[in-house]
Amino acid sequence: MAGIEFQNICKSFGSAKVMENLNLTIEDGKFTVLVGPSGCGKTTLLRIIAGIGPASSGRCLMDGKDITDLEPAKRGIAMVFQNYALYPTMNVRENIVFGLKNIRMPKEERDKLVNEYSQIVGLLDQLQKSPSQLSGGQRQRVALARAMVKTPKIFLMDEPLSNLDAKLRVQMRGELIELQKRLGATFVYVTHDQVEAMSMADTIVLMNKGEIQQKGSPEEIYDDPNNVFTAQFIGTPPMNLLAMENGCRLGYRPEVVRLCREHAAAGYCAAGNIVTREMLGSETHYKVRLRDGDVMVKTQDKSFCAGEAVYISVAAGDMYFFGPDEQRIREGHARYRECLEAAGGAL
Amino acid sequence: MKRMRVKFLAVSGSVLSVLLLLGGALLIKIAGISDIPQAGFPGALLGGRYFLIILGVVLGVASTCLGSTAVEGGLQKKRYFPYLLIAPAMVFLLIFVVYPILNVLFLSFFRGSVQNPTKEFVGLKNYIALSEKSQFIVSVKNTFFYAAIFVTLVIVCSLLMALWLFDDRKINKFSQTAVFTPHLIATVSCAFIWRWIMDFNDYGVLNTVLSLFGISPVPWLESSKTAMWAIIVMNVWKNIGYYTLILIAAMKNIPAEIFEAAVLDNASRTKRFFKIILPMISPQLFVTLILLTIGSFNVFDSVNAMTAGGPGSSTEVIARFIYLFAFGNVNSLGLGCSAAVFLMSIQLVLTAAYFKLLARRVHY
Amino acid sequence: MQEEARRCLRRFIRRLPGDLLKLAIVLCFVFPFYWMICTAFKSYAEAIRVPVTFWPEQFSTDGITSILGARNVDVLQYLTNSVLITFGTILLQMIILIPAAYAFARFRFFGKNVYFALVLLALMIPMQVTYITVYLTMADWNLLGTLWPQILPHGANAFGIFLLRQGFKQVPDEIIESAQMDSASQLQIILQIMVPMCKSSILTIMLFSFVGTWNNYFWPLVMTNSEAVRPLTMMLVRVLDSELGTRWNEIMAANLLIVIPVLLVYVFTSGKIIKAFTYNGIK
Repeated sequence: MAGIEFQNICKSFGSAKVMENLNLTIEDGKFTVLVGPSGCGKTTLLRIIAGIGPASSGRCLMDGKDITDLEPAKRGIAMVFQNYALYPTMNVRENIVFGLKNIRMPKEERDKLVNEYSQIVGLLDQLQKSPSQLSGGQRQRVALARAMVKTPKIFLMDEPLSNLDAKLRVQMRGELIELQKRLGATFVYVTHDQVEAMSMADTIVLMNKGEIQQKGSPEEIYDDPNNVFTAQFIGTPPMNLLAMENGCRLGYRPEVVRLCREHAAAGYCAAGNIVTREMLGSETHYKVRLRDGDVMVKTQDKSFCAGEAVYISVAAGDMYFFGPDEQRIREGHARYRECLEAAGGAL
Repeated sequence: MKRMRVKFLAVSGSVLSVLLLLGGALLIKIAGISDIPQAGFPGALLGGRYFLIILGVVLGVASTCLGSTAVEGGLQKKRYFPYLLIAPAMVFLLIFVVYPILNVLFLSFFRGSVQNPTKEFVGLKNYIALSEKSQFIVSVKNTFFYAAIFVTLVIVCSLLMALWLFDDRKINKFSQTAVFTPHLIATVSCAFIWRWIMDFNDYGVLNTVLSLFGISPVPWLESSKTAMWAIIVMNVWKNIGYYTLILIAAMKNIPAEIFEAAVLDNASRTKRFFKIILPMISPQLFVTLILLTIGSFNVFDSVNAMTAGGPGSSTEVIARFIYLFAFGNVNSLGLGCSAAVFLMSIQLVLTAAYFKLLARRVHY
Repeated sequence: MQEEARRCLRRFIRRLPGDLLKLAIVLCFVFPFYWMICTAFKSYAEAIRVPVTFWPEQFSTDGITSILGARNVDVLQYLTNSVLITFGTILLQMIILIPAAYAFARFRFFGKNVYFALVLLALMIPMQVTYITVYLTMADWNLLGTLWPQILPHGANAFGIFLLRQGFKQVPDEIIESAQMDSASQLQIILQIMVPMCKSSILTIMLFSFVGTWNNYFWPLVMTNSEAVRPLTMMLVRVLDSELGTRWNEIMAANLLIVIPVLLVYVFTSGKIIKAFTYNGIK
């Protein structure tokens, strides 16, 4: 079980610089998720940890030791690839055992480990099959078993669930969380799916264009975003953002909006029309057109119809403000009062 | 079922047409070339002797059409169309590939010449003569020697080159191109160039260069011990680039992730090669092996241009034997044909052997 | 940045021995060509001089002029023959192969597998065997004094059918279906859809044919009785026959004529040839 530290990592592909002076610490024993849109650098970071796509400059430390120039196989890590990367010409058992054979583990020890871990993933009776005979989910488990059997300090996973169907994905999500708790190892998990990130992570590292936007627990990321990107990446539908007169932006999440048919007495209240209504069963999503823009509202109230004129109101404590530099303006910030007043007056 | 009956008719019609074709060809051969009317190409076609062949073709076409009625849809205009498309190709293949094989086999049972290929029927005498003719035995031995060494060298060296020049770097691309270029040049040209290089006179560059390394000059093409090796070297030089490129293309088909997983699994380079690369390129390697082997038995150009079979008969090969005897000597057409049949049989047997021995080690 | 530079330097040094070896091997492979060109531009005296010169001390076009002017070697005739044979073969093949490959790729018909097996069979039969009968057939048809025996037998190029079939198979069905809905005739489909979409496959075949036919030595050797119909590859032996003994500078000059067109085509298609030759996709 080991923690990872990145110091001033820079990475270029040819002449294109994708990452500059990135610093990050990944805690030992936790389930850390690197999440972000395509090309944000999350897989790049993962591969730097693995050693199969080394950084152009900077250092990577594991447990305090500099592993920047260490061979991948000697780092005590295991990786599960997006397309599983199973060896197609070997059967399941050989796939799992390949790494162990290469470090010359004695046969009894090898067999014991193989049986133990193939039982954990439920593949004990599939050991003789070849990967082409297995379903997607089964191949996933083989890749997992292959990783686990090396008893690594760190598990790296590169979007392992993205090739599975929706139902299987949800099931595997739960299994992976359980697995991490059981093994107590450090999991570094890469995904572009924010729902996956929120549900699985102890710590989320949100990235965009080679930079870390925010690092924190799911609650922190959701309730206390540092910037516009974080605020809008996490959460479905994304946070509503409206421009204010003082150049800053006002944001609030769809589920804190209250819909009413009369103007509220005090506080932020805006008039508008319902443009669309999506009734999803347990909740209803409305798109409301205000003077300043469109906002999404998520509520359990199904009574409103499209075209209806409504008033929306948001409590001051549920409001987020972002400056012209897209950074968050929190309570205690110089401009907070000013923004609050500007919002309160926005009708 | 009516469909089954139609299918049966169609198949039997096809078989009958093939028999007619063969019979017609046989008849022509027995009648001999000297009786051919002097009308030239179009006239000969319409002459009576080709009647059976024309009948066979017509019957073949008819039965194929009949057969196509057994397929769903029945007899529609567009059913004929594919046959029209492949007809020219099939006619050419029939005349220039299928018929020659059968004809050569047929002629091998005769003693004849170009003017009269079927002068005298001798049964298996030609084959027996082959087994007694030292010139033939030597050429068979030499050909096998050449094939074995050539194929082994090419496969091993191409594999090594492919591994070496695999990464996407400018110097590798450049090397690939350079190594490939000899393949584009005519074998005879290469043969003459190397003959000039390996000249045993003092102006032969190869020996000059070797002497710089302290190796005494070798009579490459003049000594029966080294002549075959010289030819092998030339052919390996010519062919390595092509097979290296094929193998590199095959290796590039392996997903990069598998290599990365292998690296993480602590696999040494040798392990990576034998357990991953080799199995995953085995289909292409298998086909390459077969084509290489078959091709190597046909070696002729380089031998003819470099040594003409000498010195002595140390570089005589089967293809040269066929060439010398089919049209060379009087009345030895049958002998040449029997050697040709022998050549084809070896290639067939080897292909079958490859399939039997290696097919199950090929991963698809 | 300093770290990056240091890492680059380390990598360069690590790779240096391997790269040098690669260059050495490239040199070995290319040297015969260099030697050919070098010799072609030497005078005969210098060519056989001992010790050898690796660069012509006296640039001489003796070799070239003597073969161009030689009495027993009509270079223009050989060249013309080579060109005619090569282009004739390519043309014939295009006419024969494209429809056949199209049929095998996109139609289902009774006996298709049998006919295709025929094609595969043709792939494996060497010309060193078939030539005997083909010669007799050509004699039968009175074609021996013409260029036809070198063109016709190669009309049905089995390898070409194979490759083109692969190419045609990759054209998406939808495109053909929408053309059919636009009531396009079969000829239109072939000429206006399949051929343009498979340009690379067709170019591949043409390059293969070009190189194979231009460089062919065995077939002209056995199919021709007179110099009038022989191509460039047969010229070399004639040059060898000259009364003054083996004049290597002339032979190399003759070689130039055979080699340069192919190299030109190679440079012209800028490496497409390499892709063409390795576009095998055999599995």
